[in-house]
Amino acid sequence: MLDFTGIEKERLRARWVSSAEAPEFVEEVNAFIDTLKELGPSPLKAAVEAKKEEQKEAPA
Amino acid sequence: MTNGVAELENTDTIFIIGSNTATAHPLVATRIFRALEKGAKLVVADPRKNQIAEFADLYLQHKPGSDVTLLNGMMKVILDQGLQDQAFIDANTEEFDGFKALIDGVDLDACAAATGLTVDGIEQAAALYAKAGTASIVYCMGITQHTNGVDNVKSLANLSMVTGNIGRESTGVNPLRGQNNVQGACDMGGLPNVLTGYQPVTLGAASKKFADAWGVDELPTQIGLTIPEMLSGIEEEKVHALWVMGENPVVSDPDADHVVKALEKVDLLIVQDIFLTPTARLADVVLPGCSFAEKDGTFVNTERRITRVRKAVEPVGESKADWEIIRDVSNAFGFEMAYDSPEEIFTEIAELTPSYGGVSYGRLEGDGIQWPCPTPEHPGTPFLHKDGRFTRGKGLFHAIEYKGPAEVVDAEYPLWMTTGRVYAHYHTGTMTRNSVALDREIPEGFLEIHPEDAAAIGVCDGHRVRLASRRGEIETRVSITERVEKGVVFMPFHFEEANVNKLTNPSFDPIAKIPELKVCAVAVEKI
Amino acid sequence: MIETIKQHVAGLLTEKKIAGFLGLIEKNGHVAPHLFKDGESLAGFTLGDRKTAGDARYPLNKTLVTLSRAYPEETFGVLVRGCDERGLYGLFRLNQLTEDRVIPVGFSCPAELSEACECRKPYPDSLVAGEKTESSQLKKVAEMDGKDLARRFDFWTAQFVKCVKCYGCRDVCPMCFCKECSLECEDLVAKGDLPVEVPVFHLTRAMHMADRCVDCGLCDEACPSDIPLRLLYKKTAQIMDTDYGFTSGLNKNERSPLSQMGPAK
Repeated sequence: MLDFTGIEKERLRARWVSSAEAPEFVEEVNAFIDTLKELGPSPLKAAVEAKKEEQKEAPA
Repeated sequence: MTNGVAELENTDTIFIIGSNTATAHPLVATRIFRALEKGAKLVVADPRKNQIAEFADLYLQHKPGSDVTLLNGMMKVILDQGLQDQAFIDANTEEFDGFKALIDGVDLDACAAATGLTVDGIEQAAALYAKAGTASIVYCMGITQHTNGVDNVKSLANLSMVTGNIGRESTGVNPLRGQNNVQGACDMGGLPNVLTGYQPVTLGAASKKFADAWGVDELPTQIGLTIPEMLSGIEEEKVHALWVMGENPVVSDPDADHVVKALEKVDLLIVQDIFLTPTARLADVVLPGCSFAEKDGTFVNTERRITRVRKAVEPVGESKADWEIIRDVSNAFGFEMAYDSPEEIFTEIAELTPSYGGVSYGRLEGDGIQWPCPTPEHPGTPFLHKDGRFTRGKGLFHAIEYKGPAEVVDAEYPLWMTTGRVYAHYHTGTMTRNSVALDREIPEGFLEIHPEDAAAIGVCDGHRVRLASRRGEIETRVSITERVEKGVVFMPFHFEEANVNKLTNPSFDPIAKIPELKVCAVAVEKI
Repeated sequence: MIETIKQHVAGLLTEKKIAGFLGLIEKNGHVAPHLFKDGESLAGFTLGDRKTAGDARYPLNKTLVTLSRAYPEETFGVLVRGCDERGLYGLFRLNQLTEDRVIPVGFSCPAELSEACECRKPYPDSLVAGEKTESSQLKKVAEMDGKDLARRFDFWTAQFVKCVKCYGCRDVCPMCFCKECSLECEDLVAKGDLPVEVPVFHLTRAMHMADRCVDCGLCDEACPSDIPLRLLYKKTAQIMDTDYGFTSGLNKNERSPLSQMGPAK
């Protein structure tokens, strides 16, 4: 649904990790952080910011 | 509204001024969204960047109370660039020369300075409005609740006439009425100066007609009192009894502390409502009215459409329909009213009111009828002033000079304050704050303040502040937002606990007597 | 078609198979839901077709749930189109209605309406009147999928910010019945400001509709801001179909994959 509404689906990840599997959890989180760094800031935030900028520049 | 709501869908340019349309009139906003889908342009002017402004092609954040300046500036651009509809002006209006002389004298740089806008912004707004094939003006309380509210409305009328955007489909000057039946209440003469259908009480023939129908010798031909006059009348001991029906002036009227004093002083206060409102709590007698679902009758909406309302459930407890209460009180006082049903009353309305003359219950099935509808064959009137034929004959231009708000900011009260609504609540919250879901959505009042102003007084989002004006003070929490400009704060008025109307200015428009709820000067300090 | 249905309903009422029939009535120039209690009173009965087929519709199933709770021993008849019947199957599955207390009286939608709705099954199993209309393809979902990510993002953001948080989509929905609604949970959706959190509000609802939405489109019609909610939920339904082979209410007695443990099929 994220993809359908224009947000990269890689930004959401659901994995089941047992409480006994700390290394796997660390690996998972680190991998997700790397993915997010590659993707850069969310377009959602950018769109909101852009809208604000637009308004500042508007003749008002 | 001069035009119908659905006509907005086919408008080329919609100019919204002083209306929080998406929040306060969502079904009108639906039509505006549909127009935008079809490629219409949207211009929004409002001191607060409300939700509908997010969709504007051009948003103008003008200073509170500077509407006339903005509109005169736009008309200056229109006349300078020859964008006016001279044929319409020549054929259908009068007093244009006097108006033009005033507009010629307008200085755009001064307009820009007074409104806090740029000349370019005013020029763009004028071009978008004047160059459109059809252009509609939509306005609300942001225009009317000023000491120069009448001037604001006349300026909008000027703007529509100068471009010929009136008397045609999808054009017009369109005030959005708030309550579902406020249009109907005004139509029925719920104003101090008119009888039904806006027949002046001062007009001998009209009051004679009513006197004959009611079997009395004569009716008063003097104009009655407006709300502010009633309150001062109580203080001067000229008014001794007050009967409040479905209003909550303790929360809705300006300078609330003063209102409470007056209501406590009056010899007899009767309040007729469906809930025990803060006003009803002050009453000597409370008359339980019933809700829309418990009574039969008609409602008239913002586009002058008369529709039927039908009883779905029996009235709760001892409550009665308003017409029954009035009839019973009248009968007890010795003036016999023999009405047995709302339909009987409606038949009398149609007989005595030219604009309702052709309307009967039989014709109100389905979608209802838009007045004027003078004869039983008349189909009703979707838009007024067709082909430039105005009610008074020719459209009258008014040369309107800018008058500032009654109260301006100074060192003691350095911030402009404006008030309004939020999406979860309606008016004084009599109904919406009794709804668990809605009250949970927004349970308390708040003050919208610009980040720089917030920083200056040292508060963060959610901090509590004391807010004071020359009339009183209240405490509330702040909501920091760029929706308002630096120097301007906004507060919704639905909440009796933090009643912003303790602060607002009771100064009123000299003609309409509407108070300046939209502008006053306040000071904010951290608690 | 309407006469066939009337006769059928009159029969059910006379034979006392049902205590009442929940349908639509044309009254005072409006179409409204109505409980017909005897065959004689079927005079104002309508299928809700005013200018075009199906342009006056109500969540009759929602009223039926209320009615059944008030009179749990009684059996009621209810007027259904294909989508309404999918809703009934869903409500049986979710224990909101008891199957042997409901007698659906079905009629099919014309091809034109089926196409406008892009309906998967524009006729009910309990067909009393009309022919089995052909199902239509999901063109609008495919059209949206064909746009690139940025275009989709712009489109939906522009739609979602129009929301005035009236909850009309939820309140009209015949499949929404939870006592506690996630959309009112402040930890999920912030309160107190507009626009609502984009896209959290609408995607939360879309997720919750995944195994419920029967594609009746009432949300779309109720939305005062003209947000194409049906398109959004059609996509959710498509994912459910592709990934799990499940469509809410399409087959009677089918359990939702979302309420079963174990690996995906």
